[in-house]
Amino acid sequence: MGAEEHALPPEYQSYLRRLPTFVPETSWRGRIGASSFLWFGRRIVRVLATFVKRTPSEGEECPSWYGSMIWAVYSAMWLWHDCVHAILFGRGDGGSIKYIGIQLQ
Amino acid sequence: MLEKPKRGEHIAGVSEPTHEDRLADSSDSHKPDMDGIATKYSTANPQWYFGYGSNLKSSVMQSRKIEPLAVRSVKVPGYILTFDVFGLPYSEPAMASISKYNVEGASRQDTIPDVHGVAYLLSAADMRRLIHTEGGGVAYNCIMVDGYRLDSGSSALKMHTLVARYPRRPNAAPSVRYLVHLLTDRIVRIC
Repeated sequence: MGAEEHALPPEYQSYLRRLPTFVPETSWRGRIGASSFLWFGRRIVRVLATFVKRTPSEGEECPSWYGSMIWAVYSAMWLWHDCVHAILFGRGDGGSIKYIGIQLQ
Repeated sequence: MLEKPKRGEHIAGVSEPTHEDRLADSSDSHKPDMDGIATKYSTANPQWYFGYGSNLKSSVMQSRKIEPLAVRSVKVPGYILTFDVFGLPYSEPAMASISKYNVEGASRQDTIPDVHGVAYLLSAADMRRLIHTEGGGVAYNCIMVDGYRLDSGSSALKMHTLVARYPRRPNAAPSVRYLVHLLTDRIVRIC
């Protein structure tokens, strides 16, 4: 459904289809890299999820440090990915998207 | 085709915002307004929410027990779809957000369209629930954007929406599964 469900213009749907995507490596080296990263990564995310589930009920304020903590943990994971795993096993993010002709604010 | 609203727009007490209603919200337009979710949506009037990512799908809204009072396809000029929200490498590397942009050089290449999506008219309770379940205040900040209905280009809507609180640039690519989620329920190969 999504874009099709709401009959968004065909040219917009076509643009979405042309966006680059991350496709997991199928080589043994790529699979080992992904498995080893995700073995740790998924456990870390699970711990973070337990924190988020303890957030106040809807409509109440989340402590400001929640976002900062999640940002710090994800930043550390991505730093490890960029400096270690990506070099040894290949990137786990499909490269980067370039928005040609425009600058994001 | 547009999804048929779960509740009709004719229900008592439910109406589209007037021009005056929309202008009333313009003072905090485009600024994060997470300073008090509880009070921000405490008004009894339904308000519009702009969905551009997984919230494009009505099944996602249903799973969150959100019942839109009205649904419109819209475009938001001045913003593009981005993948600013960091995810997990090798699994879901990036998730959707939107961003304002500046044109580089003399003229803009029209290969990148302004973001399109769906405007949902939500009760205050549903708005609070949606923003809470989306991670408002944690991964996302809430802002106001101006959109235009695709079925009547001159009809403006002022909408709440969520943008990445910590945009990761350059953007990683989303997984195929995530992008298919934005597009369709059918299994398709995206190349």
